[in-house]
Formats: sequence, C-alpha cells, structure tokens
Amino acid sequence: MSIPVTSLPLPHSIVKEFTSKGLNFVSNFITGDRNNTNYEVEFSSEIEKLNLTKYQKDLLMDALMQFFSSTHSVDLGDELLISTPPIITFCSQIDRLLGGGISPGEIIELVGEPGSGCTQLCMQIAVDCTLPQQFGGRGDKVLLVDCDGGICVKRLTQISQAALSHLQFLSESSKEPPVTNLSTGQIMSNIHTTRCTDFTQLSSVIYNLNVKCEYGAIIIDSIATNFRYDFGDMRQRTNVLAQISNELHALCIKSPVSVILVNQVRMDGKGDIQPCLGESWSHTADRRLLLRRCQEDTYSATMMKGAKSGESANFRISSSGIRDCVHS
Amino acid sequence: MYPSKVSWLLRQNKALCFPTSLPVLEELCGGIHPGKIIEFCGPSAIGKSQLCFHLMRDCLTAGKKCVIVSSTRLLVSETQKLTPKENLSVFYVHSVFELLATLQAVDALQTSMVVIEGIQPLLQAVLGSANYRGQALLNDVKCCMGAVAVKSVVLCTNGIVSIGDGKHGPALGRAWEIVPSVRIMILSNSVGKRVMWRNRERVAELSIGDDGVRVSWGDTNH
Repeated sequence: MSIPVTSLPLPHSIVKEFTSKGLNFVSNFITGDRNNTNYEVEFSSEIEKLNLTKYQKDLLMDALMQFFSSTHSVDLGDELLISTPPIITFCSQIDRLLGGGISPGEIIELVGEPGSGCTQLCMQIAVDCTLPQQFGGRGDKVLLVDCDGGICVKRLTQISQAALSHLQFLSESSKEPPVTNLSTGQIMSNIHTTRCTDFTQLSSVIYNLNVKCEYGAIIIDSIATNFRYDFGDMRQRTNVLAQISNELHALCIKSPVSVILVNQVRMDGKGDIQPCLGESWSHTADRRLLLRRCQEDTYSATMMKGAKSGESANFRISSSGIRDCVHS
Repeated sequence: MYPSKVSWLLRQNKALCFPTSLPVLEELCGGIHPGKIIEFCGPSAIGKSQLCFHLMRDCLTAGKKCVIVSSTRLLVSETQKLTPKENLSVFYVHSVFELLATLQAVDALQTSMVVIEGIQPLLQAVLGSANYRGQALLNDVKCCMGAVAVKSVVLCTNGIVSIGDGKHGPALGRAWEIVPSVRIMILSNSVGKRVMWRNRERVAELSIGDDGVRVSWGDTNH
C-alpha cells in the first residue's frame, strides 16, 4: 500500500507543504528498502523542492521512524509483569477483592463522594508502594500527582510510621531479622509529589512520564478536578481526555507501573451514582472501585468493573491508615 | 476479468472462514466471514472485549491466524487462554497514526481475523478539532480497515453516547456510523441482563460466565 503523507504524525503546516507540491505519498520522496529491519530511509532529490528547515526535516524523520516501528508485533511473554508483585492496601478484605492487590501495569480508578476515603486510600497505597517486595510493596518510588490539594505530609508521616511499626512487629513474631534498613525518612523520600492546578500541567506531567518513568506507581488525585468545572470547550475536553487516556495506556505497556486514578461522582437522571468525565473516559480504567461511607467509621469498597464485579469489602480509617474492620 | 476476480475472492473467503461456538451470534451478524467489519458497541464493562476474546479463541482452535490491535494492555489471564501462540500476533497502538501504520502491516499478513480493541480513544484524540484533520484521519482509518477486511473479518469495539430521551447510540459520530457493515449494540436492561441490539431491535442476550460467553435468543419483552 502506498503511504499517504496525511497519515504521518506531522503538524498540519508541514503536510500542507507536501501536498501543495504534489508529493502526496511517502514513496515520492523516499528511497530505500522498506522491508529492511533497519529501516534505512533516505530522502530522494524530490525533497529539495520544498525548503524544509533542519528542524522540519528532523520532525519528518521522527515521524517516518515512528511509522515504521509501529509495524512490529509484540511478544506476549512479559516476565517482568508476571514476576512483579501486586501492591497491598493493608486491608485484607480489599486485597482479597482486588485479587491480591493492585497489579502491575494496570489502571485502577477509585470513585467516591467527597469524604468517602479516596485520598486516604491513595496515601496508604503510596506508602505501601515504597515497602520492600517481601512485605507486599513494590520497593519503588511513587509519584503522587495532587490536583485537589488533599495530600497532607503529616498524615503521610503518620501512615508510614504505623506501617513500619507493623512490619517490625511482623518480623519479630516470625523470628526473622528486623527491618533495620527502613526508616520513616526513607519512606517519605521515596514518595514524590507534584501539584497540578491546570489541565495543561497534568498533560505535561503525563507526557514526561512517558518519556522516562522511574516510579513503581503513579497516583493521580483527582483526575476530575481540572476538567470538571468551567472547562470552556467541551470538544477540547474530549480531545485532551482521550490523549491522556492513550498516554496512560502507553505508559502501562512500556513498564510494569500501576496507575491509580481518583475520580469524582455525579448523579444521573435516574438517581444513580455515576463516575464523572463521561462515557468515553469510563473505558480508560481496567478496574473501578466505588468507595462509600457507611457508618461512623466503616467504609465500603465495591468493585464496579473487573473480576468480582458487584462484590464489596468493608474497611475503616484509623490513625494508622486503612485497616480491616474489627468484628465485634 | 471481473468474474474471475469475484470468484477468487469468494473462494478465499470460504477458505478463511472458521466455525465459531456462538451460532446465534453468527446468525445475528449474518455470518462471521471475511469481508465484514463487525462493531460491538456498549458501555464499559459490558463484555465487548470478552466477546472478542471468545471469538479469537474459536479462530485459534480452528487453526487460523489471528491478529489483535489494542490500545490497552491485554489481561494476562485472558492471553494465557489463547493458544496456539504462534498463530496470534499482538500490536499495541496509542495514536491514530500508529493504528494506520499497523493496519498497513496487518494487511500484509494473511490472517482470518483482526480485532481492533478500543478504537474510541484513538480517534477521539483527533476528532472535533478545528482543522478537520480528524475527519480526514477517520476516512483513512475507514479505508485501511476496508482493505484489511477484504481478506479477514474485522471486529472492533466502540463505546456509546446518549442521544437524548434515554436512548444510546455508537460513539465517534455520524461519520463513523457508516464504517462497520454490522453493528451490534450491547446494553444492560432494567433487570441487569445484557441485551444485544441490532438495527435498534432487541434480538439476543449475552451471558458471561466463568466458562465463557454465551449468546442466546432472549425474550424481547423487557
């Protein structure tokens, strides 16, 4: 098939340059064998007809390389994905609901009304990700993208201290060597946060993660804030959300990073609770948990999308973080 | 010249066809054979991907080749059930440009079935912008899918949008509506069953269990 120039990821201005000079297909200005695995591509003399700057020529070469590299199929045997453990949440009921915890390479969405425990669960997961792998963590750094302003350093310190004392209790009771090489300071230094007040900041954070990601988990609290209120052009909102969705999926495929998104809720016409940002956004997450506050200190998490859909788990939020409910 | 090419195409189509374990779905679609672009649209978590995986398993057990082009990572639990692995090719795409490149590569492979999973976020990232390039890219995707569909059956999954009065329609707009040859909309009714609609008539029922997917002629009373 001949490749038309319009199907290359180039800015519209460059594409117009090509089509105005009659170079509608890539084969018009490329010499070189496309069937080579090296994809050595050279420009033919036709390219001199247009006065392209060096920057534009680099863009063109990048676009062609991207085009040809998309024609490879991938291997399904992903050893890194299978060997990376899930991140636990310190509440055994929720872990059972999640099939062990938050799996590597998945995008999970937490939805809930204000005050239903989403931010608390995010902070617990952030601390859990930094714990060593034999204790249910990932042993990796974690990025907390704070769009709401709800992340509190004091609370994070409190949760990490409680998690550490629990680990020390575990290692003492099983007569293993104590976990001496972990301190609260070390846990806190492995949690990186960034504050986004605008959708362009959020988009650029996600774009830079795609370029280089050194984290085990990315937590975005919450993705709805920058899009829900006072967004002028709804079409642009759909474009930006779809772009973010594509980039998050690209990130999850490249590395075994877990992405945890927090979303807000709205009431639909029938009085049911629906996650925000529309139908098209609801396809992004692989799994979805609905958090709700039941009583004074009991909360429930119901699986809305994924295996065990419809089942729920109860948890409570104490001074040490997210824990199981105490059965009386 | 033309009659011989048509009969060549018909012979190719019959050779690339395979029996599926969902005869009701085959009747609903008017036959799952090369030359068709079948779209499953529905809200999230209704079972579109499960249905595609089930059909892929049927294709692979019949010994035919299969390709899946996906924008989301495939679940390990699902891919482990797809054997034999050498007949399956997986492509991951994250933008409509990568989709166009991949469809051209897929056209060179001789496969019986091509599944394009999650086409909605790829196209929605470019549609609706001011310079109409999105519509041109949608046309390019339509032509590439049509070229692939000459030799394989193409399945794709799409989302839905509400079009007022509580009714739903396929996402991606009026320009996309003409692309598939068959469109099956899967919605859940008031009692929570999954109903498959074709041409705006309730026709069948989809049930998903641990053993797989089943399609039956449901009652049309709800």
